Amino acid sequence: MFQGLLDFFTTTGFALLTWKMLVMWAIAGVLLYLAVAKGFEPLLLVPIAFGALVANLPTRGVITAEMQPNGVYESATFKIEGEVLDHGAPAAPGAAATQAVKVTRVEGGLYDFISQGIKLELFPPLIFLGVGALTDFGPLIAMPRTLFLGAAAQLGLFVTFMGAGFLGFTSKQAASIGIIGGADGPTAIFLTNKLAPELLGAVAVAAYSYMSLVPLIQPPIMRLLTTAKERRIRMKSLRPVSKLEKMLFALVVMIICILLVPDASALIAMLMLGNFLRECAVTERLVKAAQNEIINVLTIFLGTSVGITMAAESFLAPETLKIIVLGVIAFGCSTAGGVLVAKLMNVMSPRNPVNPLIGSAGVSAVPMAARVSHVEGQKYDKDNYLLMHAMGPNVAGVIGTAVAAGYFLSTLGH
Amino acid sequence: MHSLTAAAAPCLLGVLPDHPSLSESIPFQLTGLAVVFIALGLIWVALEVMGLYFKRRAPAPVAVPAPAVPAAPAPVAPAVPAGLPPELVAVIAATVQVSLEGPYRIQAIVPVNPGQDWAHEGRRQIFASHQIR
Repeated sequence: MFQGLLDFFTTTGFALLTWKMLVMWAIAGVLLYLAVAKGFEPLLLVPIAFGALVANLPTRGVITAEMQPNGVYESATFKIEGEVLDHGAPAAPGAAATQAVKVTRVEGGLYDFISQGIKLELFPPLIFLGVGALTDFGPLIAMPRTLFLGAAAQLGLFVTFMGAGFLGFTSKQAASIGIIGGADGPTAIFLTNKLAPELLGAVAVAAYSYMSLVPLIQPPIMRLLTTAKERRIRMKSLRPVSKLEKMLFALVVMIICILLVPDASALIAMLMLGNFLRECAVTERLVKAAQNEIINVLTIFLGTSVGITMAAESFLAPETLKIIVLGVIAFGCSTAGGVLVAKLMNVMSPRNPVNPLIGSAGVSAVPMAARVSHVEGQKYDKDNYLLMHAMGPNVAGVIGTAVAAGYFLSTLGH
Repeated sequence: MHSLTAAAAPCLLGVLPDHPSLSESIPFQLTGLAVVFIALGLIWVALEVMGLYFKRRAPAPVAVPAPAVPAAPAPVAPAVPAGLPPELVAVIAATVQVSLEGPYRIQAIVPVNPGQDWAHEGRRQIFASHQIR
């Protein structure tokens, strides 16, 4: 009987536990604590942390993952069995030979299939559909010069690219780490999956963690780069923006961005589709679906799929620590870029100044970064209302990060 | 339908090596930043051009005629802070009459905490913007 129990024990999950898995349990626990007790981006950190916990349990039928002989940790693969059909027409001379296959069996775990939403680049653009349906671009349309603040806040992406290169990362990995500075989770996942899928877990965790820490990271940099007088600058009221103008905006932005960086087409097209659905006001059911059901369902699948890439074998590596450090540098440089360009704009246009505090909102964390600008401004002038002004660079940052991702894909992705 | 395939897409700056030198990395970064500025700069120009038309087209503010009589006069005088001029009470009553549908009753007029209302209005606008109607 004792031998029988021992034999049974070898079939349980206990026999497969490793100390690295226990470390990852602790990391998942910390992420859950931050999300649940501290309220840091709970909608994303809870699914990510839960996925990380599942990834570090000896599961069966959830995900297929193994270390390849070349040292690459490959996950979310499934097996397709089939029969080659030999009655296809002979290929024409010069044409590629093709053969018909009849699939007889597909074998894989639950997340081998769900994770295809990331591998096939489906989730991030579809989440952008919801983001577009939730975003009001009115403040940006009313004050289009704040677009430059959104562009300037991409500085951190490119600075970190160089820093990551110095730390031994390849160009593709450096671009994936740099995009953390854009503070745009779906774009970071979209780019990393294409350029450096082996870093997906670490990049996603760093991006979402820093997005939730915006109120802690940005204010010291904002205060360091501005004077008390600059922080008290009051800006002119925004003009009202008509519905037609908002609809045209969605079309114009999509056309310009896709013409300039075709590699960002999927993100930009879905963002602007969502926004057009919202602004045209005749597709109420579709907008509600994009704002609620679609984005919520995808957030669960995206979060858990990212978390499930955090298996101990790939996550517990020195590279992860480097990515965490580089991520905060990227974030800081992006914040500084926005503030400094706002100051430069004031030098060039002293009659209609902008409060440099809204420059930091050029990172894409919507609307947290705009709220931080507003709160900081009110510390120095309680009657100064910067929130709507800061929403301009904030939503410009979303477009800027997508364009930057398109640039990296154009240059490094082919 | 036209699509730019990976094979047909031009590769900017040639092929950047896996571990570029500083002289290769800096032009790459500057070009990337320039692409972002050009893209958003073009959108800026397009918005300014559109704005010229829409600013001209914007209707002048319309004077709202003052309501003759409130729909349902309050039987009991509302609690009004001392020092509030009757003209202001009339304006508030008129605003309520224009804004709300159905019968109403003003029970109290209370000053909000100064300095907070605009911030609250900004937040309300952001959250209300999630609903299109």
